[in-house]
Amino acid sequence: MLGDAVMGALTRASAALSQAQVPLALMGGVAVSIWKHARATKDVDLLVGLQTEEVPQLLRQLSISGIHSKRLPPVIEIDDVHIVPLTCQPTETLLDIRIDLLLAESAFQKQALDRAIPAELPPPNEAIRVLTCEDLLLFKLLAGRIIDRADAAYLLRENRKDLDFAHLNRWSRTLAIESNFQEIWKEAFPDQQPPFVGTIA
Amino acid sequence: MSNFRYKSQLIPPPELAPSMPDDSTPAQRVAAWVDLMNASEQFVLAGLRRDVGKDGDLATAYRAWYARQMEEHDQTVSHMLTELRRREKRNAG
Repeated sequence: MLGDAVMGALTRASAALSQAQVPLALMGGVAVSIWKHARATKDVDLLVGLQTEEVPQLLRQLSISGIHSKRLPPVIEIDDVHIVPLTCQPTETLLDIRIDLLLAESAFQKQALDRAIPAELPPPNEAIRVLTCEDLLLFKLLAGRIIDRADAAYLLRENRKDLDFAHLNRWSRTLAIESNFQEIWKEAFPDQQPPFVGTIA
Repeated sequence: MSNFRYKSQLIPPPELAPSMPDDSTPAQRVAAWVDLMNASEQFVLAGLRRDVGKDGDLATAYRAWYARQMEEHDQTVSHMLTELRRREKRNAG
């Protein structure tokens, strides 16, 4: 079953990365479900504290756990940002489940990794660190697809009372996505002004 | 015909949206997501079975479907990272 298979891949990757002492935080669709919005996703996305030169050694360690590089060279570079696509075939499925490691290199990514919090997963899975709702929301605003914008609106609506709006304000401005935030706020709360509208240019 | 209109264009109003109980734990939410994914997979497999026929190779069709999904995922990740770098560089400048 696909849901169990994705969880199996996540568990395996999390254990292997922890054993290699690589800091990680769950992001992507599974993280969205932890923050109260369940929607379909078919892969595992992890933000990791890793340098590109450390990737080959990590890949050797991951291969012991049945996790392999998706392509050669294993690291994809997009505008100085690096991502490592991996695959893993859990016992629960016919599929090779995709696992993407996003290397935390920018200031935004590094602080998101630092702020990640532990979340319990259903047994027999171990707890895992997950991006805070604020940082996940910011990633969604940056991604910008319709589905990501919808995710962001759901995240706002479902978690409003617990959100750190000072943090959202600060990084919305730093990343120049204030207008994206305002648009999503209107989707989540059509009749209400954003909480920090006065500070947005 | 109803003239009712949603004020939001992206998501349904709260009373019509699927939601998780406020007091649910992260583990319960992930368990709900696993159930959702397992059920969704059955729809995908049913659709693929219809496409390939009762004697067709369902496993191959399923892997091809997943590969297409991941191609779309790659484009999303690429777009997100490009945007992130563009915005951070602009701010730094």
